[in-house]
Amino acid sequence: MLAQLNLTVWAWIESFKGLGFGRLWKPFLLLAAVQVALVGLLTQFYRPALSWILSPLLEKVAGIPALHYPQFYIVLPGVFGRANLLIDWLLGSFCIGVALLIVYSNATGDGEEEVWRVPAKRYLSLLILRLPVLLLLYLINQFVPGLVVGDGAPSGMQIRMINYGTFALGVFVELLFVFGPVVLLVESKSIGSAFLEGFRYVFRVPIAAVLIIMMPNLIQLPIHWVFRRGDHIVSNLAPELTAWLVIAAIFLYVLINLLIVGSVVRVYGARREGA
Amino acid sequence: MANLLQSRHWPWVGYSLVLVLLAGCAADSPLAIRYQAERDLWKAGQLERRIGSQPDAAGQIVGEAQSAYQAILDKYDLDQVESDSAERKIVGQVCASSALGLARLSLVFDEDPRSAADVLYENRNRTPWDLDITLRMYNELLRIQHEHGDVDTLIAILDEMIDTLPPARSGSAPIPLVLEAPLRAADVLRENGFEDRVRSQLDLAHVYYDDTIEKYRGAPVEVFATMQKANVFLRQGLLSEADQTLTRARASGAAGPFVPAILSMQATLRQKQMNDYAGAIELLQKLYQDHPSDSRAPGALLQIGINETGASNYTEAIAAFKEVEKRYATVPNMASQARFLGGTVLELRGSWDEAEQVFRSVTADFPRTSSGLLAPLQIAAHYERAGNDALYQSTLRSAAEEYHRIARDLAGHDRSESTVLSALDHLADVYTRLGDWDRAVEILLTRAEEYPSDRRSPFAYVQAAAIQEQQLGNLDGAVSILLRMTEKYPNLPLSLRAKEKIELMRDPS
Repeated sequence: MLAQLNLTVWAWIESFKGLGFGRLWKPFLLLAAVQVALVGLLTQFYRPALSWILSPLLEKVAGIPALHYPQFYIVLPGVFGRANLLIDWLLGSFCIGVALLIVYSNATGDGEEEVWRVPAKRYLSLLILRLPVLLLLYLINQFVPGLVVGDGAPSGMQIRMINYGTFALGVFVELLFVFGPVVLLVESKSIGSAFLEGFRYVFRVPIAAVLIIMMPNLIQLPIHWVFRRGDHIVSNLAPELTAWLVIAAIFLYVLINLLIVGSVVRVYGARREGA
Repeated sequence: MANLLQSRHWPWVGYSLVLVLLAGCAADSPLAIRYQAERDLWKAGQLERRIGSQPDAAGQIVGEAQSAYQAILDKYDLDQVESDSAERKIVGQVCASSALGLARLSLVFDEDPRSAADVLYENRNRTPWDLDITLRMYNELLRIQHEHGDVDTLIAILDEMIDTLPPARSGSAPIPLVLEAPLRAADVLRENGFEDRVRSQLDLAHVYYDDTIEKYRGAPVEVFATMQKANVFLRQGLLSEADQTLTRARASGAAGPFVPAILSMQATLRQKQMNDYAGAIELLQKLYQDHPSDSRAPGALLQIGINETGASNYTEAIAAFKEVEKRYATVPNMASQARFLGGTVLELRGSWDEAEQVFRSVTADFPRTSSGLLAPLQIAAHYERAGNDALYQSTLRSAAEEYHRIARDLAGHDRSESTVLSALDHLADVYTRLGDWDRAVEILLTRAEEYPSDRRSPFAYVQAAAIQEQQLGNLDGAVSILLRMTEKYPNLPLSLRAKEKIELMRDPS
């Protein structure tokens, strides 16, 4: 256990040091740029070029009030969160793959020529590896509130249970699959082997895995706290501030992802060498 | 995938997409117009909300808010939006809200009722297909014209409403604002001394209500119009016709929800104008027994006692008041009123000692109710009539002490404002009766200065000025008080009369 704690602290220190490495930011900035573009497009949903597709989707996801100002901005974080699942899958899987290889090549001193090419070649496998995570996250967000509350309005305690429950389950799901992509790309394994090897790594260093996923993700809690008060932001400040807060959250997630990817690769590398 | 990422055609695909988006974003659709209208209205509303929270910059923000509302009215042309779309209705609501906002700002901050009325007048028929918006505009327009406008404009607006707006919604629910317009026009004419025009207006009202009754037979509008027709008879002094019309209204098949209101109205007519107490009691009993959960039921029971008193049935009256006190023991206003009225019946019956005991108990048990405040004055009035000056004076002095205490203890509590105002009014009355004119003036001015938004405050100035002039012989003091009143309430008709009075006092010749 002490060895795992030491390993985690070392991985964090190295990951923080790695933040200064410019190339590491590129894949996540690419992902962030697409996410920011999505926020921009969503805020312009009423324009004729976009409304034919976005307004029926918005209505389906968040109801008719979402098509009105300023109610749209109250639902924006939730709508973005759902749309982002798709971007996270289609682009995030690839970007995480690239970032994993950048950190790995940086740490091992291997060449960096393949860091974009390999994830592109194994794009489909990365999508399949990432799919269960996103599906489970979607199901957790969809069904946990119903399990806690049932019918009727939730109490304050129930709202807290939902928030902390979905956070804890989300962390659990993320950590189960966290080593899969790195195994797939570094060891050039098949999808099935990557799943199995990934799980094996989690069970070999469970405490380290929990810590490297959970600690950076704690930043999510204040972000969610702010977004739950969307109606206050809209009525007391400015509705458009919500969009800026979503963009700020996107960049915070860039940092979270950088720390997680950096730590995962280092823990994986250390255990691989150890094995 | 790797080849795709490195394709040299990507930038051109990107540029084309951006161009398509820009072209699409520049065009307007009903959704885009509606959404932008909602956004503009929200921004204007936010500016208006900021006025209260930033008093230092209020002047500038008022200007910005007015420009924002005006920009909405100039920018959004409802013809841009398809005629049957839901978006058009909302854009119409946005424009109406902007017009109302602009009028509100002109009225409250610029003190310019003419501009306020002009904005509403120009926009009143901008959305004729939306009855709710149109009614909101007319309602506000009527309010402004009634307070600040001239009679002919007000009558013209009422006539326009009668001619252009339906008396009922599509589901036959009556629209009181429209249905009351003919009577309101007659009332306005009467208030302003146009008696000859009142008669013809009332005749026109009969025609309007007869047409409406005929057209909407069996619908709630028929009942509402019949009630208004009874009101026309009342204005004409035709009491039994009014009574019969109300009976007819009650008999209508659609009368259901209106019956308690009709019973109450008819009972008041019989009691106050026909002196038919037995007839009134019959209706009030029906109201109380058949509609016990109606909000008028407690008042009906009290009115039964008042009618029994009017018919000199004192025993029945006392029994009715005791019943009210018993049933509404937890409602201080109702219980205190019933006990007080019971005291007046005892006084009428000649049982003064018993009556005095009851009045004193009203003040002791319900000190902050209207009846509790009034009871000492009732006792004083009895001693005045009896010629017992010593008791009269001592009762008034102890009442004054009590009113002072209440006004002092409750001052500053919003929920007790009406009690404090009543106490101050009674206090001024007591000092007037005692001939303590300086104190009476002091109390009246305190009341007017500390509660400027109360509707009776302008009268307090007038009363104080009258005492200064007539009792204290202080013409300068009276002029100064009236000037203060005209400065504070420049648009009140009372201020116009006050200005004439000031001229008279300054130049008696």
